[in-house]
Amino acid sequence: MANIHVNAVSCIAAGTRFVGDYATQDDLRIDGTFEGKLYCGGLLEVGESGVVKGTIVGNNIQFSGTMSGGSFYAKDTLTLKNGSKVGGDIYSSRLQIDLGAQFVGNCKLMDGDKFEKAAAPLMSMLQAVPKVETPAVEEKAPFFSAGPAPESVVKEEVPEPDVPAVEPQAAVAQDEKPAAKGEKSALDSMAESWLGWQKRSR
Amino acid sequence: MDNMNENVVSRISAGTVFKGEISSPGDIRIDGNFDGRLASTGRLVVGETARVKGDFYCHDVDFSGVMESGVLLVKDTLSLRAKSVVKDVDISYGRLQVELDAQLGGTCRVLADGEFDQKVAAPQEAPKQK
Repeated sequence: MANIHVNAVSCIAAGTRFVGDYATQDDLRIDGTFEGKLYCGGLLEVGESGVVKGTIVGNNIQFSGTMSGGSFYAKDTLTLKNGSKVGGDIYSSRLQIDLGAQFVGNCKLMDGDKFEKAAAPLMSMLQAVPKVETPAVEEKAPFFSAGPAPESVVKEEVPEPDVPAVEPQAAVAQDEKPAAKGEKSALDSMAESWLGWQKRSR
Repeated sequence: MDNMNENVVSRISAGTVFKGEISSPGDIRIDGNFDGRLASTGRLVVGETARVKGDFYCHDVDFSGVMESGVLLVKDTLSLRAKSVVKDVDISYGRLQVELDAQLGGTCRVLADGEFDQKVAAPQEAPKQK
């Protein structure tokens, strides 16, 4: 199981009451009370003590609690587990109701339109938020990348295969095929033919 | 934060937006965006990535994020950590600690006895009394 930082999962603990509009792309667990509009881009899990009311829009919803009014919009799967009580409308593309669940209301198979309509106002809430900067992941670019190699970066003394050379990539290139001085390496030829670069004379 | 009971902490994780009201007997941790009223008889921890505004009535607050406006009413200890930014906020506290480099702008006063219980007893009724 991947390492999950405990503070990266949202939850509404038992005894807590949230009233309002809630939007998240992460997973959410509800053991308390929620009233209002909710959008969850990840997995939404409502525990047995969870009570929800209002418009609940999610991708995957696992429901074990009580829903006293409103609608569920599940883009993918909605599961009503044993012990759950739902009094409201359900729109989902896949539905599973376990033995023992109680459901009273309308049920309809979801199409893309309905989900987008329901999710739109809540997703716009999310987009208005400035993105939290996460530390950049150092990614080594693929060996052959599109784009002409900038003149200034290619060093004449150490012929390397022509890639848009940013310093980290130079290290990768060196490991793979260090070209002998003055010779065209096999990689150079390949680069030429694939990307149609004009090779500078060495 | 060390003595938070993991099972009764409500969390608003980073990247989440919530507008509305929260009332809780337990502890709350906010790392996302929150706009609204929050009433808790427990502890509130606001992380560095959090941006909040609105009225907060809590027993203890450990604040490291950004608060743009509102009311912060803390029965016991309010700690503003070094990376926190608090602008234009009415602060009432029992005890206050502001770390070096925290940015604080607003009005501060000490809570009178019984004032917290009075305000938190009716968190959802009238809007905040000025």
